[in-house]
Amino acid sequence: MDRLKKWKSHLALFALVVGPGIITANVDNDAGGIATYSVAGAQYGYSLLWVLAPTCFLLVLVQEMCSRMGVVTGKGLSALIRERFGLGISFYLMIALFFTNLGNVVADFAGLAASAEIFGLHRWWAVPVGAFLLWHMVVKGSYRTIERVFFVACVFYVSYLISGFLAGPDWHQALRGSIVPNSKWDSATLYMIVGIVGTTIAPWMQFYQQASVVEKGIPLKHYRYSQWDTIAGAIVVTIVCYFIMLACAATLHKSGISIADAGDAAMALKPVAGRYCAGLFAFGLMSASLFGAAILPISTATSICEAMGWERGVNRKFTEAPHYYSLYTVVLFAGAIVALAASKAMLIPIMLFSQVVNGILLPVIIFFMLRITSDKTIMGTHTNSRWFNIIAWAGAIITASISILMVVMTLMQ
Amino acid sequence: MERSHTIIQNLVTRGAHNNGAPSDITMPVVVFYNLSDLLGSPVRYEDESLPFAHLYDIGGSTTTAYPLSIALEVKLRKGGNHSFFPWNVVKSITTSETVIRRTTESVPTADFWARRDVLDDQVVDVSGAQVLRVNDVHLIYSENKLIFGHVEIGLRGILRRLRFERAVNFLTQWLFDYTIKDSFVTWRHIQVMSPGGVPGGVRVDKITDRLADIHPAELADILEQLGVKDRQALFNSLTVETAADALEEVTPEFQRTLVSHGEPGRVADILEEMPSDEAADVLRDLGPDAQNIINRMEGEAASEVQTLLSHKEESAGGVMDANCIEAQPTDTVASILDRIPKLTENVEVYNLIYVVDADRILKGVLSLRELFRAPPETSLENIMSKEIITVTPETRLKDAAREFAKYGFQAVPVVNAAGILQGVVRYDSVLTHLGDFMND
Repeated sequence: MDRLKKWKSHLALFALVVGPGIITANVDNDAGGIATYSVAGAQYGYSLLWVLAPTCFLLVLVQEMCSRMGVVTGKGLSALIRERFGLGISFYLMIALFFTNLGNVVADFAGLAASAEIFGLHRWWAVPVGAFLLWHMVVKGSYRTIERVFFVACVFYVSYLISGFLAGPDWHQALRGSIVPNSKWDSATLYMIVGIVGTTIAPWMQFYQQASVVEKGIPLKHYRYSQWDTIAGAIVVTIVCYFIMLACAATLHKSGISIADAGDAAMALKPVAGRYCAGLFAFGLMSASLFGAAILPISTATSICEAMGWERGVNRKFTEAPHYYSLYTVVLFAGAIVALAASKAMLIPIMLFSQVVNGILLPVIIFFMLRITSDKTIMGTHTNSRWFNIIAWAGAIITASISILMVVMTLMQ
Repeated sequence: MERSHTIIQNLVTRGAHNNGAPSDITMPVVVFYNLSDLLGSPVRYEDESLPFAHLYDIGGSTTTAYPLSIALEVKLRKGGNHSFFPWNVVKSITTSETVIRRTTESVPTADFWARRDVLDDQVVDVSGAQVLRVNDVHLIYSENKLIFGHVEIGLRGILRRLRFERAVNFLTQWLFDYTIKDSFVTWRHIQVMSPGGVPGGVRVDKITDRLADIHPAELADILEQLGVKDRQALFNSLTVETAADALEEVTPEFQRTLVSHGEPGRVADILEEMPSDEAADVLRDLGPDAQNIINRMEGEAASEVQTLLSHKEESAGGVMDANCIEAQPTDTVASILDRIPKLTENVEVYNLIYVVDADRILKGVLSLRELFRAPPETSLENIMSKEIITVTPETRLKDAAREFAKYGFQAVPVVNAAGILQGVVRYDSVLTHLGDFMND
């Protein structure tokens, strides 16, 4: 009886705190992410599934530091970087963040266009309508409503789980692929692995998660629940990735169909896996694209305004926070326009550029995060423990070298 | 942003950035510096020609409206260690070098450090009741005193530090015939947050000096914009009454963090100062900590809050205010008028009198206006209106709101099934809660 009561109170507190971790992790599975996982499944079958568990671990490691910084200091990551490392560094960091996020938004609108066309909606309809809906929601809404909408959006990822099952995977092989790393170790495989890790841990996520932890006002003594939130988010996102790869492995890889992006995947699934599987896949892509296109512009505007000391926040009116809304609007509509106007051939160099900036930015940010989370004057008693620091530095070095490797390999191709 | 003109500004010869040496002996020379231009410049002893360190930080004392520099922090060229000097060792300071005397004097404790606590950090602008991020600090150097004059908060400070000022100015001038203006706040209106650090230590007691006269709503705005430590330090330094006023004004999220970070005994004192329904709202979202705080509240306030919490939030019982003016049917107008100061104590709904019998069953209502106009010896039962619109504790707020809309009340009494008066629902609390529903 007592134990039940205890659990109830744990759950009640968790419900107050939950959100930032799960939402951030799920947005991570945006159009770009889904494309990477689909291609990985289609090309390598079940053999790259093992990459997901260590990636999940790295994700938790990095994101936990963010939410800890948010809870302890009540300030966003870009504010902390400005205060600790000065204006110059923050300014150039923000420029880089602006462009890589813009690239992500373009990818999301391209994903929206592709999935809408699968359902027979023309891209010139879907993209402008989507962009205006999102703009309206943020400019007129409040943070609480938006968080709720996002939370509901997370549920749509279930469609990937179902399409994974519908694809009828070979569970025996899938299990082996998830545990035994028996991939061929050539440069193409390495590039794929690097791509999976790189798309799962992106710089905007650290800024976004910390900002939403701050906005939620999570008190320090409930930090434990915030950790659960981060871990739960990472696990959910990993499961979704797993099923995307599974669906593509069971069908496309088996029939030897090669694809270039997530839209292709949905189209290609139709003949081999059936209408429902393909439809669910496309539906997942559509909601993921909308989700990403909604959050990334907010995150960009918040981070930049915080670093520069401008008024910010969806709870303020346009006249109260003009920089914030201008940035938000520019990123959102520029993303939509580029995605509409650019042909597929033109999108590829844009995506590559965004990935390169991503790859350069991430190690820098992780380095700053480790410096800040080790600083007693900022974190008080909540600095990293010695063991955490050893693991975190190791993890950070791995993540950093992977993203640098990705940059080098992208540039070489 | 308001451009503040100060006496100091009139003294300042703008543009004399690089020259601290007196050119005219008869007039005291006043030189204007940006903090960012001074920081990092070489520091040498007067009897040596080579610098031994770089200027790292300047410590100020807040005993005057415009703080004076009282200490220096330098970063040694060899080894990169930091060392500290009292200000009076400085012979001259310019953007190209600082010359100091050797000394054995001890270093005074600074109230704040310009780089650590001000530059790139948040400060409170008391005049505009807002939190600002500081892009640069304007310093005035005169008769070997370095005075903190303004904080620069605009785009121009950012551009100058990034060394884009000239290029951008050229562009805006050429394109729009426009020069980006300085935007700064005089130090008189600046409250430095989380001051102290090496070798001072945190000095929270200094925080409220300049915030004493701010309106609670503005104080709430400031609290919401600060980081956790600064926010809590500021909140803890407020008097219980001011803290209660500010707590009523901040959003529910911030209420939760302020209360759950606070010391339960003090939080209980603060909540006692608030109307019981507002206090209950704060506690409702708090989870298990709420009971801990209620236990420390004074008996009557604690039981009122407890009652409110036992009702659903979106019902009349959950938002009602237990304090209202109660009188007996046989009371005379004169006797009520005599007791008005006492009756209206701690009461938010002060212009309605609820008439109850010995069993506290609600019999009638009358307004202060009716009371004032009646002859003094009349008893209340003769002038009160007996047709009373009431709600029960279970009435949903939406339905209560309908009564408000229909009759234009300021408050509606809450009675239980037996007709016993429980409290009143105020118009403003219905408004707040319905506002929340509309957002959902």
